[in-house]
Amino acid sequence: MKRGKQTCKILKEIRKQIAEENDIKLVIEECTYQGDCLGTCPKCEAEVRYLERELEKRQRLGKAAVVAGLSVGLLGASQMALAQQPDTITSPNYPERSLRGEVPIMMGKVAFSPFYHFEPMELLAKPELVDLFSFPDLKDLSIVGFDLEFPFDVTSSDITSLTDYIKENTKGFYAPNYPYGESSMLEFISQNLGKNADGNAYGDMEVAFTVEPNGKLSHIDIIKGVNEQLDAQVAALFKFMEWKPALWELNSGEKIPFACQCVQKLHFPMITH
Amino acid sequence: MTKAKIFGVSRHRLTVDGEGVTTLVAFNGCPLRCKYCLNKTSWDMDKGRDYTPEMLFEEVKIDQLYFLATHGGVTFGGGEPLLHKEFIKEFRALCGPQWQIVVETSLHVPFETIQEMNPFLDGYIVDIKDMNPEIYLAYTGKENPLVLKNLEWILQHKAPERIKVRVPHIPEFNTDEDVAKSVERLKAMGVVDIDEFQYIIR
Repeated sequence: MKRGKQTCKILKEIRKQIAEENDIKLVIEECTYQGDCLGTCPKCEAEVRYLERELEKRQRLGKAAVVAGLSVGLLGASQMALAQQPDTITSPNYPERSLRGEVPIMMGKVAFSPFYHFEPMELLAKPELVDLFSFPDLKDLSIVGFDLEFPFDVTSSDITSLTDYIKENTKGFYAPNYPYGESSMLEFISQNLGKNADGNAYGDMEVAFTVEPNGKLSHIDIIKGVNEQLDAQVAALFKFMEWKPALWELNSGEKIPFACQCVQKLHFPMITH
Repeated sequence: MTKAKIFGVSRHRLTVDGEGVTTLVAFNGCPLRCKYCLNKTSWDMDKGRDYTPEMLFEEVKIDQLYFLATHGGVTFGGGEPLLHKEFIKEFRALCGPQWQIVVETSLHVPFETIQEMNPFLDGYIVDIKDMNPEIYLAYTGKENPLVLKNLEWILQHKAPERIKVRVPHIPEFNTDEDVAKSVERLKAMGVVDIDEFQYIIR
């Protein structure tokens, strides 16, 4: 079992303990995802939020909410199991710590190598790599960062070897995009805001989000808002969109989707054709 | 308003940066220039994202239940987190006393900083490099008497089990014998939690 899955298992056990100790009904379904995960996912996060709400309810009813220190023992035991996983290197003389898994990724992401987070400028500053990027100059879409997965462990000090690897193995990079074009996306937003939209709203909005490798949008955040109601409506609509993910094309022709962090500007009142 | 550049926030680290489930927050800025630094990004004070203590608190409190259930919390690393003392103090005021706040530090900061910050911290993870001043200088570019003075002081003012000292085997800079000497000296100073490990250069 990979480390992410193991982390997920431990966190799930903590949630279970909190639920049991506080008489909260929590149905934990078996995760069927086959690949490695980052230790959490929207479903796991939703369970945490549910527990928080239920604990608040208990407190409002004057009941005790027992959380502090509840899982201390569990973590000790689980961590021993984790230390025995094959991706942890051990030595008979002293514990070895490889450089893997030590690179914090930007902006709140959980990071385990071999992922490496790039800001576009980091790679575009390398003249020999510039031609590899087909990130079109979309009028209102900016790409602010992306995560590449390499077939080896990486650290932040590996930037030179990473760029060498990219140069040697890459045919091109392609930006994520709304599959029917930017104007269709604006139309989708405009139509779905519908009658409830504030017709008098005026100003620029900036929506930050991540296009995940499966095309779903996550980490949706209105970083520049127009008004509270419209911001919430637009954020909700972004949750429904599916994009074509960013692609990394290898020399072999294989195209690998990768997570790409973007900022989309929207202008209100919205003009669509 | 206090602000700091932060180049990484990593969630769900299980007992690797202190007790329980922790979130590692990596600050920019470091006084050392270690040959095999894992996070050279931290040397550049302009990289990373600007955070206020409030912004960081809003972001990391998503894991509050895990922190409370496991006696975990936030570990500030970097870079050198103790260069950001006002930020950490304000963050402590926001998160309250129940979260564990630990710093991963070289202790290469002014003595007064250590005295000022100690009440706000639950623990230390000290990257001591090597106790031999010549090895320390060769590897980090800085001298270590200040580090030793600070370590001595925190050993007198914090429970010894709250202070983990990491002693790396550093290829080309120290030998197994040097590391054994460092460990022996640390034990003599009263350090009880020593993490001896190997830097692997790839």
